[in-house]
Amino acid sequence: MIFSAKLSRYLIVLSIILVASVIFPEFYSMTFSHSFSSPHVYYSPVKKIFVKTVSYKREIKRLDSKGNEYTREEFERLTPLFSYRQLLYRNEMPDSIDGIPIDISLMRLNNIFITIKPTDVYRYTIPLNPLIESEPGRPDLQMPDDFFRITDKIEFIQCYSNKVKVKLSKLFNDALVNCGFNFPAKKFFGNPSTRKPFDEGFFIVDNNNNLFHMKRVKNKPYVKKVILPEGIKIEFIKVMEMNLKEFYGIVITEDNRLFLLMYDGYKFVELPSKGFDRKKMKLVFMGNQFYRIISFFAKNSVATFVTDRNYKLIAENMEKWKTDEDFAVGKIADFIFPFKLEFTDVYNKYVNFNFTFSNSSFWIINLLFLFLLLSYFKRKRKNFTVSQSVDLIIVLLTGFYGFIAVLLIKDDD
Amino acid sequence: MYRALAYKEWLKIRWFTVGAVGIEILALLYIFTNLRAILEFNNVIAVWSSIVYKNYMFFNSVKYLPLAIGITISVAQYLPEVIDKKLKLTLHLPLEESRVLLFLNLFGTMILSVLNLLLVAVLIIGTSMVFPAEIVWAEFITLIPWVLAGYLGYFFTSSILIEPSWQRKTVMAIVGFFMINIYLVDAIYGAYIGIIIPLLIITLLYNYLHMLPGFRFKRGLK
Repeated sequence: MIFSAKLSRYLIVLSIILVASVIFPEFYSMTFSHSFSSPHVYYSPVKKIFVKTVSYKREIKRLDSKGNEYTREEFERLTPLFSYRQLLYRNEMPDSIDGIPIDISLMRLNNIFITIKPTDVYRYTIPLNPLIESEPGRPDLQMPDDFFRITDKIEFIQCYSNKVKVKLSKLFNDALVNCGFNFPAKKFFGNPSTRKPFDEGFFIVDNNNNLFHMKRVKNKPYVKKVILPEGIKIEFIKVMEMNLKEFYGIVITEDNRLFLLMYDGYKFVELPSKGFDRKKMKLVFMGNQFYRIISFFAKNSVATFVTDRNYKLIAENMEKWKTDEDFAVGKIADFIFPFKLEFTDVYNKYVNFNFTFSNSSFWIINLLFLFLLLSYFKRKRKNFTVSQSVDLIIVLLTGFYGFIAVLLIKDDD
Repeated sequence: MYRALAYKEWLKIRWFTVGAVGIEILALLYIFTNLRAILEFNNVIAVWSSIVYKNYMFFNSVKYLPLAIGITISVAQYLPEVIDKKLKLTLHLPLEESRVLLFLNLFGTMILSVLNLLLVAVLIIGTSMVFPAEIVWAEFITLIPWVLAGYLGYFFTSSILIEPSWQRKTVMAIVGFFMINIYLVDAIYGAYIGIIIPLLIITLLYNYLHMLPGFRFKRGLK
């Protein structure tokens, strides 16, 4: 009985500590935290400088990297390729930039905006996808009536009957095998939407880490093996069909490098990736007729790289801003809370025990609580029991949380 | 002796068990008739897409059912015991008291397992008739934490009922509420896949949660 009663007590104490480490930091943050919005960084093709918009509560400031402030109209004139709709409306669109005449339809064609968030990559996905007919002979794309799976073979499952389409599956299976595909597939990436100009099917990583491109053309397979650059392991591909037809999508590798997968012979073109962390940063890829602008948004910084259309780096910029951790709010939290526990994470869509440990300042408060408990025990009797010593260790390690827990559920001996 | 104990427990909870089966059948009937209607009146391909990409859970009306059943069975089993302090008699049987307490909880857990098995099995079998294995598997790993929440609800309710002091009852109720919430986070399909095993172990350990309250109950501590 004694043993199970002890186990039961520690279960309750542990539960209180876990719950306290969830609700107290949460409540603290709801009461005191501030929001810090990240600036948006643009590259002005007119002046060849970085400009940014920063929001301060209600107002938006438009600045360049030297701190000069611009009005909204001035800012729009600095970023004509981004603000072209407004400039056209005011009849202020320049005829040419750098001596190159501006053609609106060409500009529209070249404007690209792609975002990859860590939550797009790190989440559970049901491994079923539709392979859209890429030459439907109609102006719009249509969802097929089957979803495919790739396990030890590829199978197309008819949605209405939930049965495998044997003929179609065999056709695609043979095509993959003939191309040297090694089952099972490790990953596959596509853009399973019909709201796009055309369809490029799926890119599939096979069991040997080779990459294959698979499309459905007039209900027949199109399969091509893609030669990967030496030493590349693919983590994620964001496939994005665009009328520009320059690249199929953006490739993120396991060592945080970035590539574009080009239409031109499936070539890989490397993008700047200095400081990129695929698990903690949002990637924003902006393109226009003249430049490519690649930004990595972290919790308190945004790094921006500008390349020309040949992907040669021409400028880079780093913006940092302060967050709660730089102010008293965060520093006090570090003192009070030795750690906090959350079950969801802004960087992925899994439920997990996410412990965030504070920096070492919490030890002071932990020791304080330790001495409080020590003097409480001393008042009761002279010698420590084993369970009192365990309680002291709990309080030393978990501070405030443990202190509440062992006092609420005192040991009855 | 244990057979007699089991019979006594069964007498207390049998009608509640039957009621739970009834509610499960109603919930399952609702889910599958609703699913039939959705597949009938919508484009089947769109329904598949919503499940795969938009996280449509056609079975989420059972999210809190295992929890509700767990709490009900616990109340049915332990409330009569604590009202007139009848549990004291049980704890004075010529058996080791921690074994008796564990046995009482295991009996309840077993009944819960039968009820949960019924619910999950029917859902899985029904789903696999209209959807492929990938969707069925995603449904299964989504259901597990909800089912485990039922056991946790049972363990916490038992402990709260047996615990003699009101102060500790309150603490356990608050802690139980937040602990159970861990299992019921509003998440996408398969979000729990990384922590199913740890949650299972934690849940099994909580079988011992009511030991200290039981011990205090017997001693009449306040």
